[in-house]
Order: sequence, then C-alpha cells, then structure tokens
Amino acid sequence: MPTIKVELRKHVGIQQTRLGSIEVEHAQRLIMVTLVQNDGTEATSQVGLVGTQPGAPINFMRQPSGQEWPKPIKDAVRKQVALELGDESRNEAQPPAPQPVVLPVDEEELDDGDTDVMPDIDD
Amino acid sequence: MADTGNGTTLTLSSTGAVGNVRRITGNEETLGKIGVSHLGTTGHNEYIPGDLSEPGEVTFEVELDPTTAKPGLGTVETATVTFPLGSGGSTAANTAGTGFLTKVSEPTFENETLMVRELTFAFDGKTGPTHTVQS
Repeated sequence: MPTIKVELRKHVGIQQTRLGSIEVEHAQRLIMVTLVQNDGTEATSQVGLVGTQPGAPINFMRQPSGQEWPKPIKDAVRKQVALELGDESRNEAQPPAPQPVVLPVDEEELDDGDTDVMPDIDD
Repeated sequence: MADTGNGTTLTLSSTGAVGNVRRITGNEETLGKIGVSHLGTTGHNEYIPGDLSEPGEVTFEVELDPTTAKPGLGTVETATVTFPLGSGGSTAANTAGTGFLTKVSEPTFENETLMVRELTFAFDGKTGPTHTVQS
C-alpha cells in the first residue's frame, strides 16, 4: 500500500521588470503530493492550490484523466492544510448547497382545515 | 514541445470553484512608449519605453452551473492559470497574480446552446502577475 506525503510549497513566481527578474511570493501554497510505493519508488505531482488567508478554499485540480483525486489523497491534503495553516474549517472549493425556497403562507388558510396551502381561487 | 490548452486550469483563491472552464484568454501585459522625436530626427519617429506596464487581465468562459453562486465583483484575491503539465514534470507552469473580477456575465439562453458565463479578472499589479516555468 503506497504512502502519501503532502507538502505545501510556497508559491514563488518570477516577475519581469525593467530592472530584471524578481521573485514574488504569492499568498497561497502549491499542494504537492508524493506517493511512495512499497518498493521505494516515488511520484510527485501538484494536485491543487490553497490560499494562506483563513477560510480560503482548497482548490483541487482535475487529474489529466478528468477524474477527481482519490479520497485518501484529499483527506491527507486537508489534514496537512489544517496542520500547517491552522484552519480546520477549510473545505474543498465547491458550489454552495442550494437554499430552500420559502413561500409566504397565510396561517388562517392552514388553520381552517384546508390542507391545500394555496389560497382558494374562487373566493 | 507544442501542446494544446487541454488540461489548463484556473483557480481563484477566495472565490473557489466557478464551474467547468471552457476557454481562457491568456493575460497580455503591455508597456507604453514615449515619443522622443525632435526636429532633428530623420526617418522614423523614435521612442523610449514607458516607466510602468499594464498588468493585464484574463477573460474566461465557464459552463453555467445553476447550483453555483454567481461570483462577486471586486474581491481582491489571487488568480492562477496553471498550464497543462508536460511530460516529466511535477509542477506545471503557471501565471498568477492578485486582482479582482471586473465582469461576470449572465448566459445567453438559447436552444441547442450551452449556457456559459464570461468572467474577466483584472490583475491589480500589486503582486505579480508572475510566471513560473514547469519544474
């Protein structure tokens, strides 16, 4: 069974200026995952990005095959993010749950024994 | 090595997911020029480079997901365009920088046509944009 190692690497980019190239550190980390096989061989790949500000979502990239990353990898990443960035409330970037639709209802309509919540149209 | 754009991803550090990205129009940084021609100049006008460059903006088109909240304008965050990972690499090349969304459009509703939303992210020039090569 392979071992999963997660590293949050500083994201340092190169900016070109008229005075030459300068290194710029971004307020996010590259999420690097290394799978160590039983025979000792390793494979490392970037699986996503996470902002360093509190509450920033974990942005997992799609695999080249278009598939989601396996759950053990996602769990290991969440654990490492909580450990290093000190925020256990981070969630994977995903759409918010749809909010329930609430319709105004006249309480008298409900109390008169009529189980139909829609007002009578023949009044 | 020549390659297509398939596999390119875009992430916004605070907004998070915006839906499946169909197209990203890459950033374009521009630098103005200052004319230095004078009465003794002959032939062509002459120029020197300006002092400050425009950091540019990225436009991208995403499939509209009705369960995804409409991204808000003006939130300062880091946008990262991660290039497809070439063979032999572990970290793909990327372009990243701080900025904010300046445009979020509603889709065109039409038969036989996907609902897509167009967004524009303008780099603010405070951090980056930077480019990192694949390693």
